[in-house]
Amino acid sequence: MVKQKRGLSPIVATVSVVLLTLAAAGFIAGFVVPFVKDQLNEGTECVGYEDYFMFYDDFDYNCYDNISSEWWYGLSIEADSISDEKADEVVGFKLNFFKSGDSFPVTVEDGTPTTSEIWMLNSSKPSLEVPVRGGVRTYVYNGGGEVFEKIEIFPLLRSGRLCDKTDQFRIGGERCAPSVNLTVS
Amino acid sequence: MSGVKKRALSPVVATVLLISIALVLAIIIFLWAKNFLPEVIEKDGQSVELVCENVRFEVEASGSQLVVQNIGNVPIYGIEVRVQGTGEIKEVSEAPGGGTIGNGQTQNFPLPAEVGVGDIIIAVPILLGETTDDRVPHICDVDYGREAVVGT
Repeated sequence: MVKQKRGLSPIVATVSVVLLTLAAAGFIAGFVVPFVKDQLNEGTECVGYEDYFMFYDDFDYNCYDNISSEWWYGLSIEADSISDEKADEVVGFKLNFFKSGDSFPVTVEDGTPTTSEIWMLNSSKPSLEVPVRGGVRTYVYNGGGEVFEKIEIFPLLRSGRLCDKTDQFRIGGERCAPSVNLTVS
Repeated sequence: MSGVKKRALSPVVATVLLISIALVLAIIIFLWAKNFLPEVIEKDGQSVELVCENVRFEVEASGSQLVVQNIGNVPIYGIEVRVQGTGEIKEVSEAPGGGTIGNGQTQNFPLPAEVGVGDIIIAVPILLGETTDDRVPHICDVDYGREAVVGT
C-alpha cells in the first residue's frame, strides 16, 4: 500500500514559524514585559525605607498624659537621612495604636490640616508636617479614654503604598514626666 | 527494522548552549538585583557611617557665622545645620561655602537665613565618601552633631 503524506511546503512552514515568532515577540514586548516591570516596581518600591521613620527618644515626648479627662499621647518621630529622590516619594506615615489585640490606625500626611484627633505639639500650626532628612517632629494624639500599650509606624508613599513597619514603641506605663508639656501653643 | 537516522545537537554544542543560557540568565538576574542593594559608601577602606564616629570638631555660632574647628583626624567635607525647637529638629540646609576642613583647621560658614540669635542649632558633619565609581557626600547621623546656641 502506498501512503501519500501531504503537508505544508517548507516555504509555507518557514513563513508560518517566522510569523508566529514575530507575533509572540510582539506580545511579550507589548504586554508581558510592561506587566512584569510594573509588578516588580510595586514589589520593590519600599526598598530603602526599612528604617525611615523612628521614634525619637531624646526629647522625652514619647509618653501619655491625662488632660481634660482624656489620654493624650506625645510622639516624637525622626526621619532618616536618605537621598532627596527617595525622600520625595514619602508623603506621610501611618500610626497604629494597639490595645488588647485591637488596633486604632491614624494617618499623617504632610500638609493636611490638623484634626481633633492628631495635631502638632505646637498646636498653633494649622497643618501636619512630616519630617525629612534627619528632622524630628512631635505630634499629639488624642486617644480619648483609651490607654494603649504599643504604637507602630509605617511609611506612606506617594503611590499610596504603605510600607512595612519601620519602628515600634511600647508606650504602656510611659506616663509623661511633670516637666513634659503636651499643650504647647 | 529499518535504519532510522536520528540527528540531534552534538554534546559539545548542547553543553555550550546550556552554559551560555545559564550565564545570560545569571547576568540578567544580577543586573536586576543590583538595583535593590544599597551602594556602600566607604572612606579610608571602611564604611563611612563608622568613620562618622571618629569625627571630632567644635562649633561656635554667633551672629550670622558658624565657626567650625576640626580637632580630629577625619577631614570634614561640609556641615549641615539643623535648628532645635520645642519637640522638633528642623532640617534647615547645608551651610554654604567652605571646602573641606582638614585636621586642625578652622573654617567659617555663613549661617542660613532661617537661623536667628538664641536658636539652638545642631551642626552635623558631612564626609566625602567613595562608591565604586564616584565620590559622594554622606551626612552623618544627628547623634554625631554638635549643639550650639547662636550668640549675638
